[in-house]
Amino acid sequence: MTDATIEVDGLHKRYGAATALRGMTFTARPGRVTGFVGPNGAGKSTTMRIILGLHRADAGRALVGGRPYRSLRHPLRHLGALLDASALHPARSGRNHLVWLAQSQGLGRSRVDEVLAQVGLESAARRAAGGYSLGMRQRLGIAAALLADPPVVMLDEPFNGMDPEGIVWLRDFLRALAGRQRAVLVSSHLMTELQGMADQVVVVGRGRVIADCAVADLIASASGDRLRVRTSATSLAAAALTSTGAQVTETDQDLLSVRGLPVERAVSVLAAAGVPFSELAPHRATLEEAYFDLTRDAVDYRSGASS
Amino acid sequence: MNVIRAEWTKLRTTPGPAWLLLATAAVSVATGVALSAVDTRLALSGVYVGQIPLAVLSVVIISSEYSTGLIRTTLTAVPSRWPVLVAKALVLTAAVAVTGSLAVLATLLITGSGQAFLSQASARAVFHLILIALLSLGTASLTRDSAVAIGTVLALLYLPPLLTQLITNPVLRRLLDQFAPMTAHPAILALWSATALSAGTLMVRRRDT
Repeated sequence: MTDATIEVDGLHKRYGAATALRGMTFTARPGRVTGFVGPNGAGKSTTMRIILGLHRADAGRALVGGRPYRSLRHPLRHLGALLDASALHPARSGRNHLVWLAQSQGLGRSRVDEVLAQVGLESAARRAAGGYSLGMRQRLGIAAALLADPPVVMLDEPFNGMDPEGIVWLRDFLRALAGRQRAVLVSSHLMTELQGMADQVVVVGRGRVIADCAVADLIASASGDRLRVRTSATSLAAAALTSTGAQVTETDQDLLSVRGLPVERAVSVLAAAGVPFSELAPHRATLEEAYFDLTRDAVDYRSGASS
Repeated sequence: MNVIRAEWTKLRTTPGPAWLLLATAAVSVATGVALSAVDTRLALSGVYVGQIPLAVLSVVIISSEYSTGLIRTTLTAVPSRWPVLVAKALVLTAAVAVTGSLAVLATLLITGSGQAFLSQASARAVFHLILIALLSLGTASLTRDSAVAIGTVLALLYLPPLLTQLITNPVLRRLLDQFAPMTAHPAILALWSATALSAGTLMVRRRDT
C-alpha cells in the first residue's frame, strides 16, 4: 500500500445511546479526489476524527499510508487535515498559528510563507485570526493542512463559508493536488459542490457507506437511457413516441422525458409525424440527481427491510 | 524538542500570558513590599498573592485550547499527546522561573536587602510559584474548563488556611497545615503538582477530543 491512501475498515462508534458509525468502510486512493458525501449526522466528521486519532473507534481500524495515525512521528508529513476552520486562538495571528504547527513537525518558517502564498493569505497573515472571515479561516486551515506537503489531504466541509471565487479556487486546487498523485478526501453535505471535481464518491448515511463508486459510473447509471425532448406540441410528440413502445413522461412544461428509444430513432419518428421540436438529446443526470436516486433507494431498502 | 519549541511559540504569540506574568511579578513585589513594612521577614510572602494571576495563566494555557477547539489541532500535530503536556510544563516552568526570580530580586532591592537574593528563602519563593503553576496546569488539563479549574486551584490554596481557623482539634489542625498546598513543605506541594499533572496527562491521553 502506498503512503498516499486512507483505509477505513469496519469502523463502529457509539456515543452513549447514539450510534455514530456502523461499519464504515472505504479507501481514498492516490491521484483521485474522493468525495465523502452524506446528510449532516451521517458520520463523516466522526470518521475523520477517528482517522486523525482524536476519537477512538469501538471496533474497526483506520490507516494512513498503512499505519495508524497515532503511531506517526511527524503526522502532518503523512496527512494534512482541516476539520474545523475555527479551531484556532483568536488573538494569535494566522502566520504564528502556522509557525508553531511547522515547529511541531520540525519544519522551517520558509514553509509557512510558501503555504500562505499558496492559499492567498499573505496580506492578512499578520493580523489576529479572530478577525478573519470564515472563508479566510478555511484558507488558513488549508494552509495548515499543506504545511508539510503531505501525500494525503483530508478536508471536512471546506467549501463552507467560501465565496464563489474561493469555491472555484479550491476546486482547481484540489484537482491539481490529485494531479500530483496526492490522495484527496473531501467531505460535503452538498453533492453539487463535488460535481466536476470528485473522481470517486463515497455516499454515506446513518453511519455506513451507501455507495462507493466512480463519479462517471454513478452519473451514467442515474442518467439511464433517457432522452429529453423540448417541444411546444407535447401531446402530439408524446403520442408519436409512445406508439413506438417508448415510455414518455412530461417532466416540465414543453419538456418530455423518453425512455427506451435511441436518439436517431426519436428524431425520425418525430419528423415522420411532423412534430416540431427545439431540442432532443440524451439526458445527463447531475451528481445531485444521482445522489437522490441512491439515497431514495437506501430509504426504500430500509423501510422494506423493517416491514 | 520540536514540541517544546512549538509550545514556546504558542506562549509568546498571544498577549495574555505576558500580561499575566507581569501581573504575577507586580502583585508579588507590591504585596511583599507592603508586608515588609510590618515585618521585614515577610518580604517574600508576596508570592502567596502573586500566585493568583499565575494560576489563571497556567490554567488558561490549556483550557483556552479546549474552549477554542485549538486542542484538536494540537493533538493532531502531536497524536501521542503526552509530549504536549510535558512541553507546556517545561515552557511554563522556564517562564515562571525567570519571572519569579526577577520579582524576588526586585522585592529584596526595594526593601533594601538585596544581598539576601542568593538564599534558600529566595529559591523557595520561586520554587513555590513554579509548583503552583504546574498544579494549575495539571488541574486544568483534568477539568478542561477555565472557571472550574481556577475555582479548584484557588479553593485548594486558600480554603485550608481558613478551615484551620475553625478546627479546634490540634492533631487535625497540624495535619491540614502539613498537607495543604499553601502551608505544606515544598516537597509535599511538589507531590500535589506531580499528581495533578500526571492525572491530567493520563486523562488527555485517554479522552476522545
